[in-house]
Amino acid sequence: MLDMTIEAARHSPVLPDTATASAASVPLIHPLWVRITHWINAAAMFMMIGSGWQIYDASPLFRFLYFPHQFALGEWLAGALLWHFAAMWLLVINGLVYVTLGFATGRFRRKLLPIRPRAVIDDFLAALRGRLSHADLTVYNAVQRLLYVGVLLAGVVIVLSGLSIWKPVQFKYLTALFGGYDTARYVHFFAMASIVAFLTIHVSLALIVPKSLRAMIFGR
Amino acid sequence: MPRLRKAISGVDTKILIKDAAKLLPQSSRRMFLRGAGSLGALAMLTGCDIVDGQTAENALRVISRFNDRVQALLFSETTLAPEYPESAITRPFPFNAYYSEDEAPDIDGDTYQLEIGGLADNKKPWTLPELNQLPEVSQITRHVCVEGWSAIG
Repeated sequence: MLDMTIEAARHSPVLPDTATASAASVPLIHPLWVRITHWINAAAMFMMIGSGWQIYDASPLFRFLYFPHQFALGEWLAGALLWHFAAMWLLVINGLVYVTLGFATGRFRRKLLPIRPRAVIDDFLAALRGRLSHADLTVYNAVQRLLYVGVLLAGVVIVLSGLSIWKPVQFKYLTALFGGYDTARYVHFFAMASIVAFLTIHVSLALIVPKSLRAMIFGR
Repeated sequence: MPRLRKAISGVDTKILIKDAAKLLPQSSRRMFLRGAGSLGALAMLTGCDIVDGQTAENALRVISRFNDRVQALLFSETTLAPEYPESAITRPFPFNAYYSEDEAPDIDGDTYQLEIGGLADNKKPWTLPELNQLPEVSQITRHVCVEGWSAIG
């Protein structure tokens, strides 16, 4: 590989022009479909979580947990349900487009695999020491891969458990899969909690490494 | 019958809102969308003025009517709520109303009338003796409340 590069350089009479060089050194990190589905998903998540918290407050699962009114969407139970059952279409249709394209274009396989436990531990420790490289944003580190796969799975669980508590009679087999209506509610809650935990890390890190935020907006 | 089925097949938020709106103070009625103003991202996305609560409210109502049709499509007459044995009944069954149990109004059975409203063709009110003459059916099934809790009764 190195030999070939030297060979190529030796035979090329002029240096590549600067435009080609900068385009090559700044590769496209996120194609347009990723950026569009990412931000639609962000809006859908915002609405689903906000209205979900309001619905939760109508009959809290835990005595110690109540979501403050100003963080909730929909003002009260019925308003929140209207938001939740409207934004669900945005979340699910956008999610299906994203997952389909993720598999079809090979992006999931290319970007998220493989995930080796050893690499996850190494990268996690490197991150804690502040020594994780962000030089090449086109390659996800092992911790990123694990978290992105994890949040995708949480997304699948939250949609399926949501369906099972929305229609516990018509989707009775799905509801049974989650251990019945009451248990499915807990599953739905903990899926939300893990997505919120992911979002906390995700948004914090995007702000710490602003060029990753820029890449999700402009692609590079 | 299809009308009745539609009303009970899912969470009919429209009826719920209408019922609850009567019990809410006037100022709260149209304000359930407050907080929608913070949806800056959505406003940019759709290009419509979501800060205007009325726009969002109308949009939500349109989607809610669409959801009614989806729910009607999902409903299968052969997939009904399962029935349970008496031993499965939740005791005490949760009391859920806009007033507490000790505030439940005393009803005079002689003058009581059940008023009929909504889409029913015959809106003639029913007295208690008339109601008692109707055939009785009992069923033990899971009540799933729109608030999220459930109980068998």
